[in-house]
Amino acid sequence: MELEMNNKNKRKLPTISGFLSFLIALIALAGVNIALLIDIDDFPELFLVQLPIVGFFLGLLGLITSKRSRLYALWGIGISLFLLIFTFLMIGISWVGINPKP
Amino acid sequence: MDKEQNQNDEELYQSFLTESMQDYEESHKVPEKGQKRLLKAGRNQALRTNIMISLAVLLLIVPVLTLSSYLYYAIGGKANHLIELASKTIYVTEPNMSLEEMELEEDIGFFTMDLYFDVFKRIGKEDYQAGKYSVGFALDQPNFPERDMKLERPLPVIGTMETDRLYHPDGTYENVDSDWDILDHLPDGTVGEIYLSLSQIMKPQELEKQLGDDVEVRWGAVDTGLEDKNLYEAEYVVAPIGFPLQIDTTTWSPFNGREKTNEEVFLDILKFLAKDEKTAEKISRAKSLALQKRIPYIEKHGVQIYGAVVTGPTTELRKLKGNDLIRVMKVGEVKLWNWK
Repeated sequence: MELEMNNKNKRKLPTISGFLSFLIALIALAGVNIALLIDIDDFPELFLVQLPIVGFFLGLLGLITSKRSRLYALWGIGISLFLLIFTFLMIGISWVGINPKP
Repeated sequence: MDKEQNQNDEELYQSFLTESMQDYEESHKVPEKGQKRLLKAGRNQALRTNIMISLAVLLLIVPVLTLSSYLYYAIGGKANHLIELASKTIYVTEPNMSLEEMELEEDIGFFTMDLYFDVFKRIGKEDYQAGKYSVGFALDQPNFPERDMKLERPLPVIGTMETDRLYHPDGTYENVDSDWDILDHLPDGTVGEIYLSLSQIMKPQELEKQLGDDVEVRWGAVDTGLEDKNLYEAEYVVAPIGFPLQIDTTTWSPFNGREKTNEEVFLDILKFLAKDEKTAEKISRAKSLALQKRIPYIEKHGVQIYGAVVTGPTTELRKLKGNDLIRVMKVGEVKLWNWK
């Protein structure tokens, strides 16, 4: 009868990857909020592309490992994906959808 | 024998059970200090999760609203339709006014859209900026546009047949005097824009022929059967509508003369505006456009004009004074010489 439930060393890294994914996604989301609210003209590539990609892959890493980090990883992946889709749609819409200028 | 064996087994089993329960208790018992630590860790973890999820939900509000606003205006070309509506309304309701479609800018907020564009007047041979328009839309409903006109003599904010300087020959107006006096006092080295009200309705080409090549007829006010009637007969408070008589070489102007004549484009625009008349009325200075009545009249009687906006050198404009065709002349804008 083996009731081995605890293995702290194994869990630490995956937990952190899920948590980091969520954290990075939140930072990117905050950056996008700031950019939208103060109406920055420049395209905030860091918040719209780079951070969400990092967050997405960290989330994937968190997902394939231990159970406890799954919630964070899912949120991280969700927000990162949303930001990537947001970027893609916004570029598409402002290019061809609204008042297109050749 | 069997009974004894059974009892033995049972005892053995019991002792095994107690032993392993003791083992378990001993090996997995968490000391009190550890329990507190675990509880604290659990609480912290829950708190962190709560904070992060709440933060995420809050931070999602602005991007989600922005994206849905853009989607709302993009799907079905709603924004483009409103832009087209606004620019075409200007062409047919503002005498001698055009706009640069390429320079038009839009700003989309949370389910609102603001349009910004400059309007131009051709005075002499050059286009001068006549002012700035900003039209706000809440969803697809327009607010009254804000106009910032840079004109010497702008038309009033609410246009009627009495105020827009173009008078129908059969209309009843009070105190309509010509501005020949102003024209007489202008120096010769200037160009001007004047509003001519004719003494009869006629074809636009006919008027251009009559006035000659020394002046340019920019915009013709079209007879739609309502201009000569008073409010009681017409049922609508209307203002002049018309169209540019010259071909606009700007690529994006509807009156570019490539496929259709200006008259055909004018009718097309009226039919286009009729589909969304309330919006067009808000953008125009007129209280009502009454397009359901005006379009059939124009289709029946053809495009005939009763007034026109003419530009040219002041000296040439003065020569129109004796012309029998002209009943009333009102002066619009005057600029320095640019007639080449």
